[in-house]
Amino acid sequence: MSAASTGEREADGPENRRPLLEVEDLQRHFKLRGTGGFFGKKAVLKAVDGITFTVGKGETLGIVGESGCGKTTAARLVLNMVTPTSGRVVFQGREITGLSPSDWRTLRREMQYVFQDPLGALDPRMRIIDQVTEPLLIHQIGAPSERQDKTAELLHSVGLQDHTFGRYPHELSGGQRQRVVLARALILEPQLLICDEPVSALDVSIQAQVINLLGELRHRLNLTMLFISHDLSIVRHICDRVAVMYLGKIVELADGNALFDSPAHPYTRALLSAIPVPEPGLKRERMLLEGDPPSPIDPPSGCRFRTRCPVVKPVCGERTPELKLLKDGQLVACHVSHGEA
Amino acid sequence: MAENTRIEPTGAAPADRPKDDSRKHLSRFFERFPPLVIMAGLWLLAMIVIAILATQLAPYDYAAMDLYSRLQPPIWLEGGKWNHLFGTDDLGRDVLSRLIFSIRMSLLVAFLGTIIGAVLGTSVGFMAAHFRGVVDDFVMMCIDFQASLPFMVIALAVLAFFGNSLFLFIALMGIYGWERYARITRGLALSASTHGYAVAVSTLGATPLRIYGRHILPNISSALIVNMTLNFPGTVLMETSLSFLGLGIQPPLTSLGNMLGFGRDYLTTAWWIAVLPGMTIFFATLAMCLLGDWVRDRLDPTLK
Amino acid sequence: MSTAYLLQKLTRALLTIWIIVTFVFFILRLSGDPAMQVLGPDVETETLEAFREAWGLNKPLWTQYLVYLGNIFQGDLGVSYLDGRDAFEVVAERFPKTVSLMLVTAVVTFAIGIPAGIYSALHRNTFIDRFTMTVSVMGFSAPNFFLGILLILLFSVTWRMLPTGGSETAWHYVMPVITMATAEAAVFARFTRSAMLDVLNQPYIRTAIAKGLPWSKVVREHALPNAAIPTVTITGFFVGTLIAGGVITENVFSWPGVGRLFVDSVANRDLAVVQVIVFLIACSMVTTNLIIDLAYGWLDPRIRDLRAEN
Repeated sequence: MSAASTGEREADGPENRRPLLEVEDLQRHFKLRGTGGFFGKKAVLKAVDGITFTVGKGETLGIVGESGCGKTTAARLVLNMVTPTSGRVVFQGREITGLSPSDWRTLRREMQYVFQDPLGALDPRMRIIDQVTEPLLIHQIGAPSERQDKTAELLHSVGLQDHTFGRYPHELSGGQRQRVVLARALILEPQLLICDEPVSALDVSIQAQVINLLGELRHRLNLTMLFISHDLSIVRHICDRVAVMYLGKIVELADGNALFDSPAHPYTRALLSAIPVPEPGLKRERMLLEGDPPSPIDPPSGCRFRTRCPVVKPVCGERTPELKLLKDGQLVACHVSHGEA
Repeated sequence: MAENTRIEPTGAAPADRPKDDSRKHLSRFFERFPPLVIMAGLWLLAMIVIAILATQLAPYDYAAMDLYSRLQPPIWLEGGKWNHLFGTDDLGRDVLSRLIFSIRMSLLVAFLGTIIGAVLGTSVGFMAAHFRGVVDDFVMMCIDFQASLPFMVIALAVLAFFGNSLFLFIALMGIYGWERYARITRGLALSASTHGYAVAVSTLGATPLRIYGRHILPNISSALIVNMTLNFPGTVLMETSLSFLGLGIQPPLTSLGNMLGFGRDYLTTAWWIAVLPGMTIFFATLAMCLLGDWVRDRLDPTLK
Repeated sequence: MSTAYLLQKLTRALLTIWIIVTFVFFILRLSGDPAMQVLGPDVETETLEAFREAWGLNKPLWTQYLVYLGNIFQGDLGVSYLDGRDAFEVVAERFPKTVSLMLVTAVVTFAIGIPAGIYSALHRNTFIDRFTMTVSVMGFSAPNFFLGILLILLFSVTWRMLPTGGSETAWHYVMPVITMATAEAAVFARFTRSAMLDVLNQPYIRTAIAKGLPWSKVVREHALPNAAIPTVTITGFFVGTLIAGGVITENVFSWPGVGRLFVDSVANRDLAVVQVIVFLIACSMVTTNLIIDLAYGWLDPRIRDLRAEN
């Protein structure tokens, strides 16, 4: 990693293994134009309102939630594709919030992003082999003659054959395109891979293939991943730990199995109850949420979930619950779960 | 967005095919390339060739005066002689030669103007999209200004204040229509930068220059080219109009517009001095409109 | 229609005028000594100095700008050095002739262009349609100065039916109007045709027919009103091309209007008059666009509601 930038280097903690990625109270607010009249205060959309989490090396953290909960914005904040309104991001022990654009460009070698829409993420006019080679060009890695070989090797390992190399994005299938996007992200051998709904745009049958590919690559390359999705079954399959987001805040953060077996937050419970069970005849107890999801522009006071929560208590409207440790590695932001109601 | 259209070979019918197959091939050919469009293309090609080979093709220099043959009619009228095929003007200058050099001048000015306008407009559009904020507001203000007055008025005002030099005039032709390129580029660059491959390439660590130059520009090029085909005839007309009014290309240089302007005084006695350049301009703009329409239909049928 | 919409459009209009005034100010500054330019080359030093005092040319740029704006508000834009009178007066007296020419042209354009376009759209791909479209392509390709000259050649020189220049009688209107209206009518014909075709392809037209409405009613009550909306927007461009076309046409036919004055003033660098004309044109265009914007907002309920929501 280049030492060109002046990031803070924090002293190593008692354990020598620092988490690869630490996010502290990250926030992103949008001021809305055209609101509040001519002179009034503009309405603020708090897309991400203070999230904190860590990801250890080699670990896969999933972030789940409904549309509009802020999970995509959170992912983009980590990579500085969107600038945080406040909060810090620490990567490999070094603070990376507020780095200059040129420092970021060098840093991008270590952190890559896989997009939801593979067709949109690829340049329609470039052949896929050129697009996957481009990162090597940008960062001047390897001799020009070696680059194409490296690309070819990587394309093979994501399951694409030689005859696809000279094709254009629109000539490939959805699954093939996503493999290209993956290859392009991995060719720089990044430490951290952020996947934003990588398979949502694909047919269900292809989804499984790509997820398995991801799992395989993760093991082979010892990748650390941040996996954003609204599909809980996929998240369960591939993630070590899971964070549940609601309206810009993390409401539960736990080890994968713990979350799915004994969810603590009422929202998590509702989400899990909605997962279809592939066994005919077996009915799952559905927890139906009442009320419409509130708008992130004007969230409810106190706990944001209280307008739809089945176990809501008066204290929920008074104080915003903190994300605190409930038991072994499981953090929950809920007064009721912590017995405070 | 351009797709990978491959041109199918229309192919000649093999010798042993019956005759109506070749007629079918012919009609299919004319469907893809309507005869009018072909003629338009040929005319424009001829004009370009004339412009390039002007010095070789013209029988006389455009300023050469033959005072004994003043106001001589063209060859197909009574009194016309072979030494001046299209007749002469009031100073005995050969109309055909002047026509040839005028074609070169008008096409050159229009071409330079279009290039200047395209480069200027596209760069400004990119800057507005990239820097946003104050820069964007300023650019939008300039665009609004240009669109608020007919260009003729702006051009006349500038010519009034700054006088007329060839350099200034060509720069002025460059400014004609720049705002359309700027608008297109700005719009497309803005939408490309907020989602899609531009964002993707920036996460790879590419510099903005690379993103604009190697990714966004090639993808918006078809829209820009379409705009060029729309702009070119307008530039030609603007130059000829201003030259006609005596405010464009100045003598001794000759352009189609100023030939018409000078010829206007001799309509009663020597109408060919004005009419021949006029017809040339007419056919040129007609051809450009027809060709431009056709190019637009092929490049992006959704624009219809 | 909401006042917010009205206010917004009005502000935009005023802003545009202000930008144009500033632009003229700057090129006036950039191109040399304004005193000499506006007053002309053969004027005594005292007059030059007096002018410089009056316009504050000896003071910093910012002050000059304010003085300039002040002068404009008071209507003092200088004196035409060719003519000797106040520049505004010189322009104003030419105004009626130009306006009358434009009005007649506008009437002819709408009377011919719009029905032609509608008819073509309703009889798509018939001979009439193709004929009209071909004629209109030729119409707007022909440069108006050439068309004017051709007309003079034919009707004045060869057949001696119409006068070559001037504007005294109604006959004098014929050729200039034909010259200007041809290209405009062609544009309107093409545009109206494609607007109509767009509308006719809409699902709600098919619904109206399926409901059993007679075709004439469908056209009258559904197609035409909806096609009118985009047609209103190009009327804005129309005014612009009318002005530009007018400059040339007035020249070709020696029409004693503002357009001809404009070209003469540019040629003679009578900058006071040029300034007045530029401002006049700017105000006309901005006003017209404002009216059209408001008409557009009033006509199209989608725009109305969109603005109200915001």
